[in-house]
Amino acid sequence: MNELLQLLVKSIVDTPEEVTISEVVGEKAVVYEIKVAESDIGKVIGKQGRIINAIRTIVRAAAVKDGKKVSIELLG
Amino acid sequence: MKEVIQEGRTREEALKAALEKLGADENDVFVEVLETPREGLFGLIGSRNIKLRVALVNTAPEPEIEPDPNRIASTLPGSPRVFSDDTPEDQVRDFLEKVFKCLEVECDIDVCEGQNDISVDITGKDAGVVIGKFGQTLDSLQFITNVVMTKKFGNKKKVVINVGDYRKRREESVHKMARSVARKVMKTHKPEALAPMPPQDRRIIHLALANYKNIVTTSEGTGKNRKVVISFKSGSPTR
Repeated sequence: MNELLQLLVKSIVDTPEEVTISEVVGEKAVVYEIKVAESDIGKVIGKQGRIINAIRTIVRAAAVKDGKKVSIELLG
Repeated sequence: MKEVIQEGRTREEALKAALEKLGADENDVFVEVLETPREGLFGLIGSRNIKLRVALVNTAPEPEIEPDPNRIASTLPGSPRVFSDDTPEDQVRDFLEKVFKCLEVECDIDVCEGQNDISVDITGKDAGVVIGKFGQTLDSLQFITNVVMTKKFGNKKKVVINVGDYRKRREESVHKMARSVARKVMKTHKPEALAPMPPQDRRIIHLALANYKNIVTTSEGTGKNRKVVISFKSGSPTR
């Protein structure tokens, strides 16, 4: 899952080196916290959040198999 | 960017007032509908005005809402473009292969470059996972692929992703649903709202019912919640 997120986010930003993703595992849900370069924040969110929402949808599809809830936060 | 939020009884009224405030021409602004008007009970109780966000833009006029997936990435300044010797077909296949590997989905990817677009066909036993509810996952994947291709490789052709004959089947089922709801509306004369759905599905409904004399289809709500309302036309148009 982490890999997938890395792939998606790094493909979108200008400075992939500065992408870090941390995983906070709870009992029922996993929270992924994405950190990107300040100049890349807009690119990850997209117009009206379209990109970040598309990422959420894809990651959720991946999470179906594990039966866990996934949420994605972008740290500013 | 200068902008005003303006309410009004109709879209025209609101827009006119907003343009006066901004001192601008209709061509210089970007209009976003924040709230759609609603007719109240007997036109009195619970009626709601239309609310617009009108923003001044310096560049060429932008079309209203319905964002074009390609535009977001292409308008971002300073994105370094990596042109490689690979054909766009290879790049698309490469990217999707990586995604599917992470998704642990086994499927075949068939990429075919057409004149105006690059069509991708996905087949395999796990293809259902890729489609998702109402094709949400498929649409998201297509959107992201477009963003990535535009940004990284300066690819200008739209990427269309299909799983088997999913899109065709979806079109047929949406068509069928539209007709059956229209029949119901013609019997009851009461408007029926359908579930929120993406633009291409709404388009199918509008087109499917365009020939029905007593039926009017309108789209209401904004963004993800935009849905088609099928209503009965009695003499005067509803809009």
